[in-house]
Amino acid sequence: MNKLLAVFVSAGVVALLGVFLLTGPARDQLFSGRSELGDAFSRRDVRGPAPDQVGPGSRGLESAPANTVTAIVLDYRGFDTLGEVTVLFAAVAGAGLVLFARRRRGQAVSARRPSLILTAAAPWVFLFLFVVGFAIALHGHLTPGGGFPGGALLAAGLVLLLSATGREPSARRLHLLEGLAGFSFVAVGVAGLVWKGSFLAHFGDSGVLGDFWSAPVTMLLYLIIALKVSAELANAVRTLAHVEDPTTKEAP
Amino acid sequence: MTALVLLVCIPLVVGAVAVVTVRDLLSAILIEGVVSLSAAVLFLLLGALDVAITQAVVGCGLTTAVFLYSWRRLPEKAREVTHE
Repeated sequence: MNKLLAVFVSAGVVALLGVFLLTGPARDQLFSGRSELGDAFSRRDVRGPAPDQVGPGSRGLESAPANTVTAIVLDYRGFDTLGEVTVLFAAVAGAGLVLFARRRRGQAVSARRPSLILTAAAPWVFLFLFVVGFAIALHGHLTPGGGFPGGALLAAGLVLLLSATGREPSARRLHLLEGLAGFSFVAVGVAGLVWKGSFLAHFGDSGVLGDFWSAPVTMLLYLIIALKVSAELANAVRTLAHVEDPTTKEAP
Repeated sequence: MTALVLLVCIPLVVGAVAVVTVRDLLSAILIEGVVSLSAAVLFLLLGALDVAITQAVVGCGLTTAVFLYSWRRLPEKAREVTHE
């Protein structure tokens, strides 16, 4: 099963790279640094142009994400987001604590085989979810979405895989991924403390507003959040799927 | 635009009523997924892209999956709602 998952994931990575490298706007983003999506999003204005408008191409900004929501969520209110991620962790840990006692070990989820439609479609839909999830998470500083929906998409892909094949990535790996992501979030915060003098302060060059490679810390944090959210959600659903039937005892 | 929003509201409202009135639990779970999807489309039409993405993935995808896993654990008798 791990081989199968490895094939899926590496195919997903290849497809992701392909989408990024071969499509026009993304290629421009990668190599010339201008993102049409980011431009369009940072140009939006509800009241007409302001006198000293900050627009695509602005440099040296305090906070560079073209997506204002992201600028607030991960820059000005970054500490809140750390708390939010912690709450999510606590919720999943609580659910796992309640359900853990009844978990079966090393058992496929269903005795019945999943339908042909599900097994045939699952790899392709998984690839699609994987690519879109990563794309949404990576473009969180430019366009709506970001780490939380992106991570949920990745988790949905893993759950689909679980439903189709009855197996899933091991809990240990998910725990490791989640722990690493949480640690990285705090590590980024401490790096801000060391370099800029306050926890989660964004260090490094904020770049040009609307570029794909702008607001590097925001991008990094959203990627971390996506990995953490996907590991948490996938693990929660996985735990639920393994809960033993409390009313009837399974035949040995 | 208004007509489109109202069009999306039809499955939303009809589905929401159907979820609580339908007897078969599996149908209720699937209809709930349709309701969530309609809500996601509604959010999309109203311009709330972040919320629409999250609603589609969490509301329509993951919640339905969790409900289905729970449903499978139910004994046969409990799979149909009986209104006394």
